Amino acid sequence: MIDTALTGAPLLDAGRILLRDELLPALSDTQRHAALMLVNALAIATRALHQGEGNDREELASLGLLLGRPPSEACTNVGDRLLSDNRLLCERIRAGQTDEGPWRAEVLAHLRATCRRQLAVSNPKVLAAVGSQRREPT
Amino acid sequence: MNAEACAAVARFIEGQAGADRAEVQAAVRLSGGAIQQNWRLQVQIEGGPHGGSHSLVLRTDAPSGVAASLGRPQEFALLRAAFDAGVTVPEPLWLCEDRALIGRPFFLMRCVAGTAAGHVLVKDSAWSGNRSRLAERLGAELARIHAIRPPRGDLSFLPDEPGAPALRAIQRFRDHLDALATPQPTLEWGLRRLERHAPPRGDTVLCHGDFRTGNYLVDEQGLTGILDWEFAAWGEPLQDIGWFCARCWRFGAYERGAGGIGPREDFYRGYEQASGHALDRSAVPYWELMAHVRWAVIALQQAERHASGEEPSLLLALTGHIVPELEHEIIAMTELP
Repeated sequence: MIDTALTGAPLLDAGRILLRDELLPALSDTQRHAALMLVNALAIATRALHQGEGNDREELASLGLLLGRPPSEACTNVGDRLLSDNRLLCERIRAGQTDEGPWRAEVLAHLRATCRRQLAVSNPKVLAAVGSQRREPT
Repeated sequence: MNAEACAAVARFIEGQAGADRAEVQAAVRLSGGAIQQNWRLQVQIEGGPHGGSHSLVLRTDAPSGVAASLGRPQEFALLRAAFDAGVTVPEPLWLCEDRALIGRPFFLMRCVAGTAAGHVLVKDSAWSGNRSRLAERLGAELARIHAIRPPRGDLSFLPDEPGAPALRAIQRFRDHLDALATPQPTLEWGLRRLERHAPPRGDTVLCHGDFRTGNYLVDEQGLTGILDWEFAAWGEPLQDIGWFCARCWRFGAYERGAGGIGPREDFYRGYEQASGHALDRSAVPYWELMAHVRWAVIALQQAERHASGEEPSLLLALTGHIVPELEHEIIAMTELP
């Protein structure tokens, strides 16, 4: 069998480092812009592979609590269930059910946590900057 | 542009400029523009009022362009209206609607120097002169755009829709979200907030629609031109102000509220002095929230063009990864009920 370090996230990450450290410095400005996009894309893909289905399962569990679905209910297809649960949440938000009351705080906490998990894949710099982030003087 | 197209454009210029002879000496494709193509032309004109050497930009649709909100003839009319109102735009010269010449409608405008790159402008003050002055100037420019008001025969192609612009925008964004493959609860959350606090219809003015850092040109002396008019529409003035000031358009220079290039108050002052009336500062945050939702909806639409296989593109795919950061800001702006 092949060593897991030769596939998936470690392979992508090795490619990203080669691109960043050896190819990027040799490129023209126009090519550099494209290569930087590629470095970013490889980093996102690597983080997504590390996450696996973890993010989706956490989001689904949180949605289950919000929408009052019994935790025992088996889920074979995480992707389909995420879509249907999120559609239901969207309908309820649009209908004004989160305008006030205790459910508002629960939904807000869910959205915040989901957003943080997505940022951890898409743009972790934002999470690192929270608290130290430069703000406009008021 | 091949030699045949250059020759056709030269004959067109001869006719328009009342010249004895015109020659396109060089044509260089400018970067950017998935929907439009821009070519910089070096044109020699002999005879007539325009005699001499000119650096021009030819703007036309990309051959495989996505249907945009405005076509070249409409964009030309907007540039003309803005130029006549004293807005700093490249002077529009001649419009050609005859497809026989280069296969698509095009127009010619004067070439303007400078850079539009947002990440450069916010970092390097050599490109933006005095930041405070640039912010003030941009405020004054926007006020001049907003001084253009309906009805206008030359801009009759812009629909003047009834109702509150905020509610119209919310409906439009919901329609866009409903057409996407994946539901977006955080954007729904933001839209619901916007719906509950939607202001009634106020003044109706010409809104640029994409007035932000990245869409104007600056050289060492300051502003040289306001670009990208294809989203212009009759609307609410604060919409442009919120879009310009929104955190997501500061290119990382978050502490400078006027588009990352200067203090917000300088921008407001420029606007107030040129418009002659006070700006309601308390109403701006609403439109900054609207700006974040709008940009997120656009980013999702762009990402879907990649994800659906319609237009595989790394740039479009990465645009989708901007959305969580926008959502993060939307949540921060709506924490309190």
